[in-house]
Amino acid sequence: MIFSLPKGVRRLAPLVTTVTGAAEGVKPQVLLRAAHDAFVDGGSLEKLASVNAVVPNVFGAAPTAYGARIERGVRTAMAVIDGVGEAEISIGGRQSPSHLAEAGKPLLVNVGVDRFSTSPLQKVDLTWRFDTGPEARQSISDGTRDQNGLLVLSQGHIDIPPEASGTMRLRVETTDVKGKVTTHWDPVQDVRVIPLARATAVFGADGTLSIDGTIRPGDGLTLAYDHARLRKLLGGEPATKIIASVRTNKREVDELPLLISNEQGAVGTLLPTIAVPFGVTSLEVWVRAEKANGAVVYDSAEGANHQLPVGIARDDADPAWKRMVLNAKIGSGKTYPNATAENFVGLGPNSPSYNCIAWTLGKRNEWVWPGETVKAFDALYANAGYQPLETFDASFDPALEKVAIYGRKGALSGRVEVLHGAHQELDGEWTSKLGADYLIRHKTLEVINGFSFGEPVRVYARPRGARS
Amino acid sequence: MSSAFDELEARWSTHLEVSSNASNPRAHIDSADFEAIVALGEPAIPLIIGRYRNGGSLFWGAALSRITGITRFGDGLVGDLEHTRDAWLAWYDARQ
Repeated sequence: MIFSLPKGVRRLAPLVTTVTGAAEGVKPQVLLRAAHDAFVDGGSLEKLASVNAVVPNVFGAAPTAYGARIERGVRTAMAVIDGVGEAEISIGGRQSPSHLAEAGKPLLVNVGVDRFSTSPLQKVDLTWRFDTGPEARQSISDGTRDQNGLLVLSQGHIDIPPEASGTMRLRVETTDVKGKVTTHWDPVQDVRVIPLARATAVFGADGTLSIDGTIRPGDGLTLAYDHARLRKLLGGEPATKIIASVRTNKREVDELPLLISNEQGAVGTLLPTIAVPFGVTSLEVWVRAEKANGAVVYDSAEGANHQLPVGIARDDADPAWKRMVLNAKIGSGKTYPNATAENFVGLGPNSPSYNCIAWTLGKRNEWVWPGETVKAFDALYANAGYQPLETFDASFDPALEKVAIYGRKGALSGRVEVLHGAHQELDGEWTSKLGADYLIRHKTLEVINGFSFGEPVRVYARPRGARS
Repeated sequence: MSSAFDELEARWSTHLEVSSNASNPRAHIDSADFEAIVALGEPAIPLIIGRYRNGGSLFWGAALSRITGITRFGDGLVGDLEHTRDAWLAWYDARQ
């Protein structure tokens, strides 16, 4: 045991430990993974974070019961890792996912025997699925009971797919001797999956910051921080604590430890992986280091904080986006009658922070609306270097960046009232932020025609590459 | 006041849901219930601030601007509406 649990600190459920090196012929090391959120701060996806501790193999061969110290504000938690991810399903509890798992890693599921009545059962299955994906199942009992009359249950083993993210729904299904099937489910059984890190922010010893990969909402982001870059700031003294603060959208701050130490001092580097929440458009990072005498130094890009660019989520990263758009109704009809599952993909969640016109101008933190008239939009886009095309031309020209506006002719005025705008991407498809709703990419402009937006009425263009 | 506000706010919330895909920000406040909230005047401000502070609509700034006549935080319809919210909350806290 490397760490002792501080007083008042809750013990976290173990997640996954992987030993790498020996089989791969590289320097042996122990990759420890722990996670905190639901147990520390209360379960919202935005607060998910995991900690990966890459520890030099100085503690011995068996990667059991290593710990990672996790802090957020004044609260401290201790993760204890002793094998594989485990989820305990018992009666009652919180009305939100209580378990964490990591993409690409196994999760063991122990179902509490106290869930079941004494009436005879033919079988018990564990079922799971990710969002709207297909349901998978595994038998965990054939109804056999032990000498005390308790159901004999085996442990469920789920290999979380590498591409998994979001919520995994776990259910228990019983079949009685008459064939009656009963499903047992409670939100507390759901599992939040920490996605694989597909981008790494590398804070080099020479003071540089580089991003390996693209940071995307819904993906994992690893912070690889070389402690040597603090040497000058610390005046050559060792740090007793190094904490990275990560702020999303200028609001939520997660604090992640970067240093593993024991009684002898620093012994390892923590590589925290955070799940970049959907809806995040900006990330900033600063690092605080403490010396033994309590003095604190900051690596914060001279007070401005390190700014990490956040791109757009992967296509349909959350299947709910597409589902909501397809199911949107206006009166008794569909809001987007031309939309099908094949002609658009979801790119981002509903967000009241920006609208379609802001999106066409490359902004994700504003509402932009110049007025309802075409003339007002001509002026707006002229300021951004766009000119209206003389004839309506929504074709793809790689040399031109195009924006289309939608509208409807007023019954009385006969004048076109502008209702929406879409931006053409490098592949010729169009992207639209649907008011305060979702961000989507649609194959043609007509996909979102309808009562809400009318139809495309004008196209603007400027030389591609001018987008700020 | 509180129950009248609650009723109006609930109905305006329904309007916001129905108009959620409207790109024109004015469509989000184009509601008799929103107008009625504005008509409640200064006594409604603490109630509005409560909603605004706790994750309510970002268009509450439009109501506050109309009630107070203060325009330095924008009209509450365009611009960085999260920044607008923070400015209104700071304004209110400074008055307490």
